Amino acid sequence: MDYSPLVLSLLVSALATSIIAVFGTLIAYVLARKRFFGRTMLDAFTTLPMILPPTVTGFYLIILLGKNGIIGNYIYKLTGWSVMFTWQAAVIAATVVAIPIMIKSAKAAIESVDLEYEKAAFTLGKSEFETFFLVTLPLAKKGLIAGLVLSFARALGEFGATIMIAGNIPGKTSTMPLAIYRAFQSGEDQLATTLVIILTVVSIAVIYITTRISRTD
Amino acid sequence: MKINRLITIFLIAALIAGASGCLSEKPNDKKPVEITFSAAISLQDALTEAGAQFTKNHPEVKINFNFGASGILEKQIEQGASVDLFASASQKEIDLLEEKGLIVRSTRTNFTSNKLVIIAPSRLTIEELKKLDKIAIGDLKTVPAGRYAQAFLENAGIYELLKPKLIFAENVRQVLDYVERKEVDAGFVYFSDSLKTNLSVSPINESLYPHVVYPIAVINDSQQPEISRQFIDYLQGKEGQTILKKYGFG
Repeated sequence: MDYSPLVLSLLVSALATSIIAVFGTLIAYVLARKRFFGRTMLDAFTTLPMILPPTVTGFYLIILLGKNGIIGNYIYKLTGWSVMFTWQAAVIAATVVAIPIMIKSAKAAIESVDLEYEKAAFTLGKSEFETFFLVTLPLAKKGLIAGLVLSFARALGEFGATIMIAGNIPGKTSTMPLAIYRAFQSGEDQLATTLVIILTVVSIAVIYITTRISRTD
Repeated sequence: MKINRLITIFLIAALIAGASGCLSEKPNDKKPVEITFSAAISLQDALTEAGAQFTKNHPEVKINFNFGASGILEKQIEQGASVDLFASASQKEIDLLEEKGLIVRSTRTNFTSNKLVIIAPSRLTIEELKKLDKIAIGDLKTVPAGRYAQAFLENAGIYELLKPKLIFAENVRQVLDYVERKEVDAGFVYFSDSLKTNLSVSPINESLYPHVVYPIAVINDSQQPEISRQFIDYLQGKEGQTILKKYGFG
């Protein structure tokens, strides 16, 4: 039994979730607390990957990051490296596809924090930066954790965008869903079944553990 | 007002009924026949044209094509997909189906052949191939072109060296696409695929990989075995072979 799809999947999802934790929370805060031109646009734009089929998201990522892509061609010219067909591409795909879930749930959580607490912190001389970390985040904790768990689960299950920009290379970019697809298509039903069971168990475990954590406080 | 609306609806309905009546009154009285043809994706353009020509002479026939990697199509048939005809890019898939008794044995025949080539922005020698970063080949488990390429690389003694650089594609047309978009430096496709691109084509010594032959057979539980058989005959006939040749087969 080759465990590389499981290891790869966990690694990719963990990395994607870390990126999502930082940028998802930041975008959610900006959307919840700031009023600026283009706010609705930003909101819609960051929700898009949740609505679009992942293959469409993957297509856009190729246009953006492919070797001849809008950004990708500069990266390639500068470094001689292209993100296509690498495990990093799988992380990018998982991040982009899962981040809307975090933004949605973090935004709702931050919006539900009473503004009076933040105003009180401001009057007591705390900067916005300190208030964000010491007041807003702790009060929104539950929603943030929930968002992260769901994002992790979504990243773990990511398939469409991943197969488009990372391919399906055994040991390199074959995450669990891709390995299941390959195993099933090539008639290795036994392997497919094993991988399906592992993925199901891991997903249930992730959800169970985090529900317990959020319940204990 | 209400009556007017009713009359309008009635008139529109009558118009639609009349129009559709006209459309369905075709000159031939034969019953319409639909067949599903699963075929190796390398055959896509050639078979689409051959199918169009065939149905000109058999207007009652409609051919639904299902193109994909031969190994994937074989699995679909094994899992009970209702398919009438199957053409593969290697013997392995048809062998598997024959072992399971899923094809009509007497209809199995090889109807065309192909060659393996390397496509890249410029012509490549084996030495140059070794220096590349990313080389696309079909998935070894489901794509015959991938297995032919693997055989060639093994016989040339460079498979282990190139293995870390291989990018596996879901079918041979995806290899073509990867190279055309320059996401990879080179790729292994069939000669027939290479005619679709402006990329440079490097031929491969034919003694270094198995002969690429396309077998075809009628599937056992086909509802239309007769017309399926006729299409096989058509492909083997002069007209069918001319079309295949035009697309780089044979």
